[in-house]
Amino acid sequence: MVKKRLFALALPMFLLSSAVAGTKKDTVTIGTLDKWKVLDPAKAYDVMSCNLMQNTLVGLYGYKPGSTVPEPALASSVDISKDGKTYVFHLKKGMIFTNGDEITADTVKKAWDRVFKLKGDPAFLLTGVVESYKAKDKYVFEVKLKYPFAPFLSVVAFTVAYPVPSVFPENSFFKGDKYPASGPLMIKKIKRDRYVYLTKNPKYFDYKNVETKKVLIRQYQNAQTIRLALEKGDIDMSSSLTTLDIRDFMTNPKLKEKFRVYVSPSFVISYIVFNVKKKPFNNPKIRKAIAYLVNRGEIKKFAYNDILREDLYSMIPKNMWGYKPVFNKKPDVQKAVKLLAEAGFTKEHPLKINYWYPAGHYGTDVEKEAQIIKSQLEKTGVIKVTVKTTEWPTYLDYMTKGVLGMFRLGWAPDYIDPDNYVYPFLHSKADASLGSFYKNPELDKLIEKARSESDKKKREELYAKIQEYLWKDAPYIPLHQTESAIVADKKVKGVTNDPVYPRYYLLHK
Amino acid sequence: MKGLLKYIGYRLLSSVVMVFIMVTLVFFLLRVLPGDPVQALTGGKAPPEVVRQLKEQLGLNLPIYKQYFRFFSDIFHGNLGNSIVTGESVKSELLERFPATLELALVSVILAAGGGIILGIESAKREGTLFDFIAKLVALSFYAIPIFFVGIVMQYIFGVKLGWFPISGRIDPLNEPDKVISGLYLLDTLLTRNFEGFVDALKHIVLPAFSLALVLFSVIYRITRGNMILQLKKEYVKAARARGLKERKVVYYHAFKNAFIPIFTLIGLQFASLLGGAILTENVFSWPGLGSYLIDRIGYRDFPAIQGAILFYAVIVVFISIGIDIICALINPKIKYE
Amino acid sequence: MNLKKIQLYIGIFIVAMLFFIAVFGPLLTPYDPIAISNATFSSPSLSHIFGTDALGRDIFSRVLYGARISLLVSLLAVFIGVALGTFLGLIAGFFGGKIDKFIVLLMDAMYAFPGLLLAITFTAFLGQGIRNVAFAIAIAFVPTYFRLVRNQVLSIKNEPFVEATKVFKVPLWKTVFIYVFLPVVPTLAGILALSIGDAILTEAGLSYLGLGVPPPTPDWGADLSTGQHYILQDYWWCFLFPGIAIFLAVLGFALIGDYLSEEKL
Repeated sequence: MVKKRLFALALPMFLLSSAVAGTKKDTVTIGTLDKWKVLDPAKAYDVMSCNLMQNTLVGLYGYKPGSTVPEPALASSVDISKDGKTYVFHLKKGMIFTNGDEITADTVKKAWDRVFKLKGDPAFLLTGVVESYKAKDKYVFEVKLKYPFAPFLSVVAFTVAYPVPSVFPENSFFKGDKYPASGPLMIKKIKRDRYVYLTKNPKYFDYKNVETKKVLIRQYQNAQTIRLALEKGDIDMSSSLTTLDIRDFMTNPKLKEKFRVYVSPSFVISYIVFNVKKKPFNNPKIRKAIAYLVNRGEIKKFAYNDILREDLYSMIPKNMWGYKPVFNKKPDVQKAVKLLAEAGFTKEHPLKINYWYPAGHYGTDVEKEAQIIKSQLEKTGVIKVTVKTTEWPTYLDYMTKGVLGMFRLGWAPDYIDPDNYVYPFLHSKADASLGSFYKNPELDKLIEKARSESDKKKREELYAKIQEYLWKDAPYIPLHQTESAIVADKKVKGVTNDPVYPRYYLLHK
Repeated sequence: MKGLLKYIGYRLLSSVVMVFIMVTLVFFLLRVLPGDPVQALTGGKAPPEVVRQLKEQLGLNLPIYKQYFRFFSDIFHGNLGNSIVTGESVKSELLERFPATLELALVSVILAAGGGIILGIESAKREGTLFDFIAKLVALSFYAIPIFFVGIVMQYIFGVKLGWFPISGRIDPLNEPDKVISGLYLLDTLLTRNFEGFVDALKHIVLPAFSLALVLFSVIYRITRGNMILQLKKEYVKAARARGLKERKVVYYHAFKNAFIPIFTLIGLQFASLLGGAILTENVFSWPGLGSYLIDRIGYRDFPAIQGAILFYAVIVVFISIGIDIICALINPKIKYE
Repeated sequence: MNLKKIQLYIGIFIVAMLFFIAVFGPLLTPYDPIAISNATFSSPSLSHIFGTDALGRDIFSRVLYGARISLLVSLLAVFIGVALGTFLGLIAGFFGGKIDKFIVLLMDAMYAFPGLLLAITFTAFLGQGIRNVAFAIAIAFVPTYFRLVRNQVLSIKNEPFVEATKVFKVPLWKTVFIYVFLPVVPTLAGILALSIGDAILTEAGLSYLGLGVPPPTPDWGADLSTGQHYILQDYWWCFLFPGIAIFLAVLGFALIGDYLSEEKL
């Protein structure tokens, strides 16, 4: 009764004021689930923080939109010594932050000092390979590496190596949320977990190529609301939708009229890990039998609404040079049953295993994926699978402690190079943190050789060899490579589905 | 009055003990149970020696008792520590989110109490009639629908299909008041005469507040109805009627005054519990309150943030429940305190 | 007929149906509730009267099996809550003094905490599983039952008849049963029924946040949370049927609980 009366009172007032100024016409509004954590290159290691900094700061090296090959940005050129251990960067002159400070070799040095001293989350990417560095001249920055490291320029292009303005304290992480920008955009207004409002940086060196006037990034707590917000017109674009919603935007004629879906391959892969020290997965035959049973196409069709997944047959993604499909392409139940029999498991004496996936962390489709993998393995009649799940931090804890035997993970690269898909997974120095505990001294040598070789042809051959081991020992089963999709209102121009990071500064209406 | 003061003193003292127990419990649970902030932060990607280094930086490698003492000495200096995830001070993060929670809680409690009390009284007046029966069925039905589902359906109907209200957030970012006075946008926009902002904030709060109020409404309706029925059967009501007082006055003034205390206590406790964050509603409507903060930080095992949020919340609950007692005592001085 | 009685009968009818389905449901279902098939998202038809879900599982079978799980979780939660609450209530009541004060403080602290918040904190740390979810939900119930039992103990503790049981060497459990339990049964019954409804709702909320009973267990809360993703796709059967199941179950218990607690008034 009463509620109705209240409602009746409230309604006219809202209708009267239908024209709230709100989001202006020249602002492109993006909806996202990702939250930025900390805006400091020395500390940030999460997607959203890095994205924001990549749009507001510049590194010595960067990427052209759409490309994955690092190229000079603040630097004009680099000299690399013959042994591949010394890099001399020549900086462009007159590059400034919005506060007027010039970016010199000394600025870069100070930023690196912070990274080395503060030892934040991503610091290991630099500290692991860099022996020493110095400002040789006002515009010359020299780096010496511990060993030749071919993908070094990709690391330099990552935010951890970016020069920062002087507001970033020497001895502690930056706690603020606004800083003088050097990149195409600057942060105008920002509220944690709610929104970021970016405007054009008038002092950016490449100002004429910045299309954007204003970009508003709104943070949401669930993907469904983002979809509703798109349909309602609250936001213009988003890359945080579920596959189910994306499929709607691709197929529903009414939605297709207003929106466009931009799909492009990404460098994110999904895979199953075996803890090779844990029974029964310490037996390679069992790992291989399972590898023979996984049907990637079926998983894509039923768990991912048949979109945005490409079957992957190596840990190195397809669109990366060096990719060699080493895993079997067609599921082979007979071979699997044979291998299982050799390992001592039959229909009378079945193999009982647990399969783990993290709840919520990779969206809700993984849940379906787990059920499908279970049914694929159980088709043999020789394996019985119990699906288990737990939330992310507990999952990681179990993983590092070796509790998980067979489990699902995903990987987004730190730098675009085959090395980043090989070293962390297969080198004995990196194994523990990724849960397989796999060790192979022969392979270690190959990996080290591949990352220090500078000739791309030779590296390619080495990676082909390395990938053979993947299939031979099967400590991992690659499942899919994901494609990323941006759904955008057709009014929005300059949408590029960039493989490295979203280019907010190209968006405009 | 003296009894009351003594009672308040006792309550305050025991509350300190209660808060202490609570926070200690959370502190040790966090460290004993699985999940680790450094791993959650680096996603298991960082090499083991890096993980060790980061733990050292955060003081998580110290023996638990040392961490515990450090934590408490910080509290006594009014410091809740810095978030492991954002590096910001937990205190300022909590204070930033609290007004959002408070605003939503206030509006929904007002809506629910208004509806629940009036319908409860009308129902009690007509006890046993069809009106009463249907009102109760409706109230219990509201209660029986999972709240997140109510929220999603409201978003869909009133937000997308009819387009009347925004479906997420507190205010359009471009309307955000620049000056924070109380942090309650409805109030701040009025104070600064930003009427456009006020309407915008009001529009934003309608859907989350209504979906939250729906559940509260049935709880308040039930307790009002029950207590009013009890009162209406009492002698003084009959006497008042016999004296020829207007029915309206008898019911809404005399009887309600006597039924007020349990109703008020319940509303107070519900309000306190809403201040902990209406987690599901906040999630559905992306409302930036305390509940979503806590859930978010549990997901990162952000120890200082979780401890701080629980402490903050426990303190609020204590103050509200003591406040309720004081108000009840002032209304009805006959209550005795042990 | 008296409308109040009708309320009770409707409640009893719903709850009786619920128990019937929970016990005999599996005999009535033509499909395995967790068997996936290629017929995904088929709308209700003769072969699948409630349609099928994203993995081609029969929703009718899942809803029927789900009665078991949902009832199991909520009954288990209430049982744990009552057991813990009674245990603590007896200790606090009979021992009194500092022990009593300490437990009362602890319970007060817990009582003020929102149930869902407690449940979330516990499932996040304990991990998911029927037992853990039930336990997490139960925590929030403990203080209510604790208060009930403690107050009863306090009110009879110094009565002469209790003293007498000591003289006549009546076993302690008998004393507790006769003088503590039996008198609170009328109050308890109402609260119990309401608690069960509460537990079902809390479980659904946990599922929505991804912390409920793990898949593929057929569970109403989990199925509603998954199903509501399909609102915009117009796969209404995915959320409607588990939703109705939850609604009816909670309503049934609430009708009974409301009736019982009013009778007491």
